[in-house]
Amino acid sequence: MSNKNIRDQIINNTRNKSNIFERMIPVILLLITSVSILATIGILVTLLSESFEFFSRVPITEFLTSATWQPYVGDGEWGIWALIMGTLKIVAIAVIFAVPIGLGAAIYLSEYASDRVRRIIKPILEVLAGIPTVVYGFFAINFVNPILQGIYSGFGLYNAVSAGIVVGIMIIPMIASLSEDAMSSVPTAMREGSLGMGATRLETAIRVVIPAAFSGIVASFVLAISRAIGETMIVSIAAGSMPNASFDVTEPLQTMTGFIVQITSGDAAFGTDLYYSLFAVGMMLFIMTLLMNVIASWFTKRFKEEY
Amino acid sequence: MAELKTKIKQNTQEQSVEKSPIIQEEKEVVFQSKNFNLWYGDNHALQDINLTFHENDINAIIGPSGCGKSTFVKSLNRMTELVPIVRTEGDIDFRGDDIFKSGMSVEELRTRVGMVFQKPNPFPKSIYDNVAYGPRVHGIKKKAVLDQIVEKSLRSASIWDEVKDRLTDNAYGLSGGQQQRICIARALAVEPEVILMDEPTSALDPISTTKIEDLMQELKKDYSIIIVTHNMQQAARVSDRTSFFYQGYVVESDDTNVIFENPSDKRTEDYVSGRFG
Amino acid sequence: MTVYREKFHEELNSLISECINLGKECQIRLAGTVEILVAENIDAARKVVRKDAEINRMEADINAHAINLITTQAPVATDLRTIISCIKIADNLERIGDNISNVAEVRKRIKITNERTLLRFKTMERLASLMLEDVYTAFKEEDMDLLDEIILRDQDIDAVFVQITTSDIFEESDAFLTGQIQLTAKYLERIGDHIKSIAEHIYYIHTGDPYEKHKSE
Repeated sequence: MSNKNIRDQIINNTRNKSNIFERMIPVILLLITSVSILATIGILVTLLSESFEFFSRVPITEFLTSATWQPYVGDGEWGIWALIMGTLKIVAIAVIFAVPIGLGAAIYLSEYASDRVRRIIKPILEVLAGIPTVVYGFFAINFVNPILQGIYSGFGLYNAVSAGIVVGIMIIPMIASLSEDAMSSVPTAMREGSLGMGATRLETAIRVVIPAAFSGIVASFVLAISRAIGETMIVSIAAGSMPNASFDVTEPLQTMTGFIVQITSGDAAFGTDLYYSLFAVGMMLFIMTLLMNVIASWFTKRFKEEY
Repeated sequence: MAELKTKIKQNTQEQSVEKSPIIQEEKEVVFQSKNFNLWYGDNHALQDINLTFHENDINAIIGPSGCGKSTFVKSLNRMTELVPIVRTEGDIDFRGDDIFKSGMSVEELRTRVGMVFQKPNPFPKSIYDNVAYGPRVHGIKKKAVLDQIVEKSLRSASIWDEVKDRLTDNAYGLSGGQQQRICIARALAVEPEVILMDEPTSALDPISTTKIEDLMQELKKDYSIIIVTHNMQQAARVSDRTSFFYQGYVVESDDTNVIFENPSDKRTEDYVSGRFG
Repeated sequence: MTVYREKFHEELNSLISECINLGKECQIRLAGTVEILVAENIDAARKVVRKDAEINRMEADINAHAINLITTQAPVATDLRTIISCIKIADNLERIGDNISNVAEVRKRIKITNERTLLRFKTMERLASLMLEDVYTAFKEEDMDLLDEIILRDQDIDAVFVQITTSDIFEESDAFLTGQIQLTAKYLERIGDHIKSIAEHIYYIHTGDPYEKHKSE
């Protein structure tokens, strides 16, 4: 008796569900999505068109092959390699510093740490991710650099290593947290299969868990490296503003991001070469990040173990 | 193949193993538990387990859910230690050596005592890499040797013909029954002496189950098998000896035909007749 | 401890009941066996022979029911022994029915009038009837000692049989009659053997060992 009543109620409700609303939802959501797509397209189009204006004034060959970036000297020397090298020095040092620590922490947390330890350490790592970059920059120049200068007196006030290390510290949580998530998602059954054959925990972590979590781990690297490439505050404070294409990491340098900050907070009159160079450098940054994503994608497809 | 066994043992820091001096019914004792107790925290999961398992026997362990049968079998290769709140008392001897106290490393124990799990758990690698995993981890690198081991193990697991032309395919592309046989091949690749099987066919269809049961009869010639099963017909069909676990202790342990035709304990009779579970 | 497989247990009990009913039916018919030999009308004998078909049908039903239980329920241990023994006991009971019918057939050929012979027959019938009664009791009460006793009592029936066939018949002159008397004695003796068999099967249900093993101890 009451069954029929409930059944009727349910059927009535199903019939009454607003059809119109249901059909409008995909449209509304599409409109919302388009906002972000349009923004991306807008930025891209602006970068492209303004860069185009820059390359009508400065030959693209000079841009791509020269190693000197001196906007204030005469007509300006516009060799992007100086800025690219600056960025690469920072990123390389950051990665060399952050990957072993981040990955090591991830392995420890997912394979060795007890539940209690994990619950304490993971949030602390996430706090590290929340520290404002300006504080990091300050920390680099006032704390890390004096230590470096104590080890080797050749370090200048601004150099690649102090900024690089601190950028590395900033991206550790990204690598550690995301890699650990990826590794924890690997089913325990797989670890049991490996341990059951007499493999040690470390062998299991390296031969089974990491390959299985590979795409997640690579994704964490991509994110971290992109972040390092685009890092502006720390390098502005601690790396200096002297663009050069040398491999010397004890000298000041300037990154692409550092250059953009310097000019936009200073004197770039509209219509000058200097003004348009900002867009060219921005375009370069964008291409670098894009390239990195493509490489990572290829890398993952090639080596990952799908399950 | 004997030299492979030596290589594997050397890699896991072999201690000299003395064959057990206890000989019953012409067959050597392979595992013996003496007053073995296990606690999960406060839960006294295994109580005074005294059981003996002989060479080349298929030993079935039956009992209702939660009776401790899986826990006991996982104690035999110390997989229970993966859970931090586990505490044990009493001995388990493998060929006369106490698996907890003697110098045998847990890695060596697990190499000599292999395990097949309830849900097939191949690695997301190729079939070849799955089977070669164990030998590689134990230091065998030469491709020719690995090729041999992989073929032998896949043959022993009755799956060579089905996969010999696609060894580089990912193991996940196989059916459940095939995956389980790959897991068996993988366990065999390190040449264990005992194979523990924790409800190996409960996730499989009837034909795969039959194939694996037939496989067990073949494997019995070279290995000792201890199988946990909640399928009583399977225990009756497949095993030589059966032990009935109930609420953490052993009610009865005897030849399989005794347990299923004329058991001594009424609880055993009731359980195998399906009067409770 | 919840009890599972109620349907199976109901069916098993039902099978046992069928066996008991068949036994009771045989019991009833056994009581009138020797009387048929002195019945005035041959029709009474014919009726007994016809009614044997009913016993055969009951036995066939028990077999079918048992096979069905084995196929569908995969019984083990005591349950399996019970089912197999029900098949065998039903077979024994069916043959008892046949033997009763065989005695009726004798009446169709000749009427037996010798008082002493009839008395001997009546004794055998009575002994068998008591054995059958006691077998049922032993089964219900799981009385293994009673089974031992019943099995021994078969020798009493055998003793009367020997009496009839080795001394009594030599007093008859009619060869045909002698033959029929021997046959009748044989049928009655067989009934005793079948009941002994039933007792042995019941022993097997409860102990899991064949009676032979127990006898040699």
